[in-house]
Amino acid sequence: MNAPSTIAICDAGPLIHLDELSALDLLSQYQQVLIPPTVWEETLRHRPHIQFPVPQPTPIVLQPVVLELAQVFNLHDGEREALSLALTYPGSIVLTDDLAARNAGTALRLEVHGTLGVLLQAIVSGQRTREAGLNLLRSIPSISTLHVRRDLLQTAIKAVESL
Amino acid sequence: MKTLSIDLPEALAAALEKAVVDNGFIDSQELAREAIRRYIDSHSAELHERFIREDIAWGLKGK
Repeated sequence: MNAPSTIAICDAGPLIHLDELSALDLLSQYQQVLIPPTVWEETLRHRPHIQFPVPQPTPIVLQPVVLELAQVFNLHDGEREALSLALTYPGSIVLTDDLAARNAGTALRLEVHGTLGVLLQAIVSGQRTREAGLNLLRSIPSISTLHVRRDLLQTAIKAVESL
Repeated sequence: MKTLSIDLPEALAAALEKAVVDNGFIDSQELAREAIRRYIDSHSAELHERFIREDIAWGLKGK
């Protein structure tokens, strides 16, 4: 479980998916949420009415190792910024639902997780009741663009049902 | 060969055409084939499953 001191660096996917699920408030479980400029621009393109504090300008220095991996993993600008930012915050976690970005993050020995993990943490920590959490999980295929294979989503749902 | 027709938002279509020129592709079809191939290569089912299972384990860790 994340200690309150965890800094989360967000890619667009989790912001978009949590907003689709009306669950952006779940990001309050982290001490700080950092959103690179390009990620925020991408998020606004998909969710122009998103209700989330506009991120403070965060200077991003694109790290050479990230730029090298970007070629291999075909990373977008936002993903490059998010991974570069994470390298400057030891102990932070990167939130992304993109497999290529996650793969690159893992190669950089960063801790990387996706929207599903955020939802489950919120249920375990009590930010959502078990029933509310289950409703969120069950609604993913119908109201979210988050892609989770059905059988894997069922695994998550069954795990929560047994809590 | 199978033919696929897709609708693209104007901005994406414009970006595609620009990328064809900037990167020396013959045409948008060649670029689209390359993009699809790369996506499939980097989004294997095994990888998807591994990451989701990791998220489930991580998310439930506090219980």
